[in-house]
Amino acid sequence: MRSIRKQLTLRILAGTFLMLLLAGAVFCIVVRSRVMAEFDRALEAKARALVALTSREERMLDIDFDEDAMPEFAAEDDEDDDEDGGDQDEPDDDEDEDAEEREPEYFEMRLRSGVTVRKSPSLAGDSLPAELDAARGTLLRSLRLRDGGRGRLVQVTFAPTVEEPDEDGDEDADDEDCFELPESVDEAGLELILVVARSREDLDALLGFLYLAFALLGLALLAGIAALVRGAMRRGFRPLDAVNAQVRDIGPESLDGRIRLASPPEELATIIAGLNGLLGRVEDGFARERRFSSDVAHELRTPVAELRTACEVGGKWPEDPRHTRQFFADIEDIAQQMERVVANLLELTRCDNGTSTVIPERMHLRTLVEDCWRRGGRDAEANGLRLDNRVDADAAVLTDRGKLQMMVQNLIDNAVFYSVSGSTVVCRTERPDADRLALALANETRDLERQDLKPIFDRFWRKDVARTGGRHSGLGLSLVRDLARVLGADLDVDLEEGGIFVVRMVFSSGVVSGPDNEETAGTPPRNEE
Amino acid sequence: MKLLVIDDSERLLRSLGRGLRKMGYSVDLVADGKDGLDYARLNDYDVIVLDLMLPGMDGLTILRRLRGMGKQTHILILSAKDQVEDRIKGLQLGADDYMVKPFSFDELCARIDALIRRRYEAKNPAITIGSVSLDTSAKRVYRDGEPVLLTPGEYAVLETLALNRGRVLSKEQLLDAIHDSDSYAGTNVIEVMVCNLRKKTGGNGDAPVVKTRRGYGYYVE
Repeated sequence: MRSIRKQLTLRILAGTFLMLLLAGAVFCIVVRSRVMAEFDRALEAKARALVALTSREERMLDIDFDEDAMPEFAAEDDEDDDEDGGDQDEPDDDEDEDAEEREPEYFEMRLRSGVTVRKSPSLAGDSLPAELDAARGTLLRSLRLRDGGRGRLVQVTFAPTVEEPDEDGDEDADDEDCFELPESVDEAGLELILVVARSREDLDALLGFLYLAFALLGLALLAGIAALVRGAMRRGFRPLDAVNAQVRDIGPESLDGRIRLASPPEELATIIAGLNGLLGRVEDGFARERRFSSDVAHELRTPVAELRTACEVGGKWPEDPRHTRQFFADIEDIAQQMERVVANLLELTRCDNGTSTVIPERMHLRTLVEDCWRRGGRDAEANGLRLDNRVDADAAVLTDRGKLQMMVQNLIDNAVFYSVSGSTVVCRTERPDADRLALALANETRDLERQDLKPIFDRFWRKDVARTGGRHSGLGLSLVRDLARVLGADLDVDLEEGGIFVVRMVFSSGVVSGPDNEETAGTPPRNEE
Repeated sequence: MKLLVIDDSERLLRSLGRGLRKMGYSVDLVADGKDGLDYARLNDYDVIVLDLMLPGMDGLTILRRLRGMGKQTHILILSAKDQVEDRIKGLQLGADDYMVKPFSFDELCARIDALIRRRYEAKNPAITIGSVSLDTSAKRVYRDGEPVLLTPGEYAVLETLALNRGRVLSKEQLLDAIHDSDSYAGTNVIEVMVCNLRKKTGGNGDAPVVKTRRGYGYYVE
């Protein structure tokens, strides 16, 4: 299973690693280039020093090179000799160490023709590569030294300074430092090529150390960041763990519980609010389900209890014909009540499953209302109720006959059962707009309150919690609502002033008016049973 | 033995009333909660059979009110509510028994008898008075082991006296115990029943089972 915590940790660490790598690469490049530049500058300075020591007096080149002043150019053997002869001269220990640590440096001065004017003793019999046709100026490049090591080279092409000959003709210069130009060389345009080379082993060692140090630092930084991220994740996810623990504790018996966190993070607050909303809906659903089960149990248990007691008592004392007649009347009554409940439940199930089919045909609403009222006539008469049928004579809809009949019958039965004795039940049509037609039933009630309008369509809901009497089980209005949904009609209830309960069925489609046309000629109105 | 049945189902009340009367109980039937409370408050019943979902006033409120006013009448709840919490709530509020609908009529009678015995602190359903014995669970009477045929009214008088053994009960008390509250029967009915009882349970010169305390009423020793 994917873990957000692990994924975030991995991504943060991978990102940090990449950033460190990038920063390290940039750092190394910058450091390397700066160190190299410094190295080259030092090398060039050394070359300039040698250039400064070189002068021409007529056809004699004087290179005032002193090996003692520049021991780095000394022959390797000389350095060894110095070390061997330490007992005689007893040089300082520091100098000795410097000589041991010092990398040899080389120089070679040439004419354009390639003739070597002077070279450092460290070169011994070797020579340094030079670009003889290079323009005046400085060239820098890398090379392989005579010992096979890597080195750096600077080539300076220059014209030596010209010195006037001494008037007294003293020979200051050492013969060893002087070089006479060959005949073929014109001293006027004389240009010399000085190549100075130096090993870069120390430089490479320094750079290597820097790279290693940075890599180790980077790894240590990465490990530290990993620990910090882990801690931060644990702290950051603590509220989520708390929510998880609370959600785990919620079961069917504790649906009234809600998730509560003291000052939850913004992102989690939204989720908690959503979860609490969901829990509320689940709790309502559970309560509805429990109420439904309890109501079904009651609706079926009570008639079964009546049936069983009637049978047991009737079987024990069967001799009384008056009671036997009553017994059969009761049995029939109970059977009809159970049949109604079962039929309504089956119809509701069909609506729920979407297996309820609709066969549209033209239904005249006025005739339908009259027929349904006639069926409930006995009870209406007993309650002294009167029907005021104000439905337009030409109001008709194209819809399923059986379902619409069931809806209107249920609404009228409901109105007859719950109306105040001696009142009038009003049925009328309303036209909210040109395309829609509403059939409204209004009846006067005694106990209904506005808050009852919300659960009024719930299955088995009855204002009378005692559910007295078997003729109304509280499924009628639920069935009306579900059938309206199947027929595509909107259902609306209202409680008007004076306790007038109004139910409106609004048909948005299939509304027809006027005489039957050809389309519906094959299905003439026949609302009689 | 006098019972009050409060249930909103008229069909069930009809069957129960008929059956319980045939079993020898005097039964008052009420279909409304408020009326039921009034009946229970004003009369002395041996057992009240009480439904929970009632119009006017629910069964638990009736129970709470009765216990609140100190009524110790045994109450059996008879309800379609079958959840454990419903039963617990009913029993905790002071009901003595709980039965779920649908139920067996014989079981209901047996439970009513058990509650009646508890009322009179008689654990044994068999009561013996000299050569006469009563089986209160089967509603039968024997004399020297031979069954004696009594009408439900005669049996009710004998059982009431037997359960109140040693106590003198007036004719009005006996009438109240064996007849419905809305019955218009007079005390002479009791005199006739006692006379019949003496005839059916007496004989061989034995002293009658039901004795008279002149000016007060009847009793059994």
